Amino acid sequence: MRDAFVAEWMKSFSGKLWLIMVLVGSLFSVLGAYGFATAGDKALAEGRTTEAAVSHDLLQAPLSMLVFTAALGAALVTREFSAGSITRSVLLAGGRDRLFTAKTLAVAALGALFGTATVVLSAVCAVVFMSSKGHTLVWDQQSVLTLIGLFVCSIAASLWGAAMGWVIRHQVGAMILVLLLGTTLEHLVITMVPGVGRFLFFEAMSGLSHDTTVHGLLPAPAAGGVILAWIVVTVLVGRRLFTSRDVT
Amino acid sequence: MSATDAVVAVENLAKRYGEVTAVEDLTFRVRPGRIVGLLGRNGAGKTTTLRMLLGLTRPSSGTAAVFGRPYAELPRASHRVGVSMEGVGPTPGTSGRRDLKIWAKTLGLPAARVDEVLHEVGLDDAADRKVKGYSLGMRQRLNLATALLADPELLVLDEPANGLDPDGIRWLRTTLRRLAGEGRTILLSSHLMAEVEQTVDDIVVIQQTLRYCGSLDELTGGGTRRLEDCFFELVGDPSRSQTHA
Repeated sequence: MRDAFVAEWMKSFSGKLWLIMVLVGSLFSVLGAYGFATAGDKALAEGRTTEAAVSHDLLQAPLSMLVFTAALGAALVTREFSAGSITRSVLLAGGRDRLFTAKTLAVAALGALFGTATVVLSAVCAVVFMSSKGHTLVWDQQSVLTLIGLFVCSIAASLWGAAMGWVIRHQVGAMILVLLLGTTLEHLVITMVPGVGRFLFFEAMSGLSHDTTVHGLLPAPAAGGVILAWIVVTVLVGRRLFTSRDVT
Repeated sequence: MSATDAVVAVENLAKRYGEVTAVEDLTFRVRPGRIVGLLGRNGAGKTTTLRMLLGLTRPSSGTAAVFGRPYAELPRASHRVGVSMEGVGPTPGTSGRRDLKIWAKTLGLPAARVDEVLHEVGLDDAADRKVKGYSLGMRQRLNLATALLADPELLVLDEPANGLDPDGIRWLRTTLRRLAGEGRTILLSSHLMAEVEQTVDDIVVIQQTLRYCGSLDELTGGGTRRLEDCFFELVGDPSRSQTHA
């Protein structure tokens, strides 16, 4: 299994897709953080908020990175179907179950790596933008929980994206669906029907990361449970489909 | 020869996609150390048969076994059976060398094996180029290199001559003969009669159903008749043949 895992890890960094996702995700995160810093600076000047609140907003700004992490997870699975290399993967990995497990572990490890990068990006952006506006970043319990939430959510996003890939098996379709869900569709649902939207995957991740910019989110423990349920269901469905359908 | 002695044993194999029959009641065996040509028109069911043999496609009925067992149940199957399938691409974004390194790692083989197979298929000079820039012939060589990585006993090659130029075809013929001379069994599908005639020991002709299974010599009367003529006698008039996508 170790060899299969390392091979899947090597595949993850083949081509430029991972780099594109990191760069685009980082750009969105930095722009988001800058926006929160600017709005926070104005609100602080008007006495409408506190440095702690602005700090928390800034720290969770890289939540957008999670959308791209999920899209990458989906792409790492689906591009094998698009390229036809899935056939060779199945034949050489020693069975579909073994391949599924190795890829799932590799995607989880990739999520952890991206999570670490996201946490570092979050902290650096928060420090730089708060300083640039003449404020001090507040480190308190919620700051730490936000960063932990980002890290855990990165692994979750990667796993969920990959599971969606096993279900959809089409690279463009899977990536578009994941990106649309993360950037638009789920926000629309929670805005219009908060009672439903809070149980969606990305909105649950916002809850786990203590996102203070969206109203109606689940508290962190419940959000963690919802995320886990989404992952378990999609992984089970993806595995079931992969092991039962013809490999084409 | 019993099914357990055969390197490949296909018994009453069938695959139906709804109303369309891809393969029907197919039975044949492949003896050890032979080069066997699986012949048929486009859409005759050659690739479907190979995919069922390798556990990639589930048969509607019947069985297919390699070394006496279904591929999925064969211990160390990926080391005993080398496969080159049409339509199987490399890992996206890789060079030939990196693609092979990934598969070598998947198989638990040392990276040094990659250089050996690259040399064996004549891709040393192009090894560090991106595979997407490879010609069809170079991709065929890379596919064969991947199939040879684990030094397998059985090679299953789907249309290995497609895209090869005359030099490549001669190289493939020589290589396959050498590999068979080392005691390997080779099952290759093709619709290139002239090429098959110069390469194989045994022939399996299919057109959804089995039309012939036996030695090339028997079929061609020891070379007194052309394989192409024999083939069309077996599969019938092309205008009346049924094909599927």
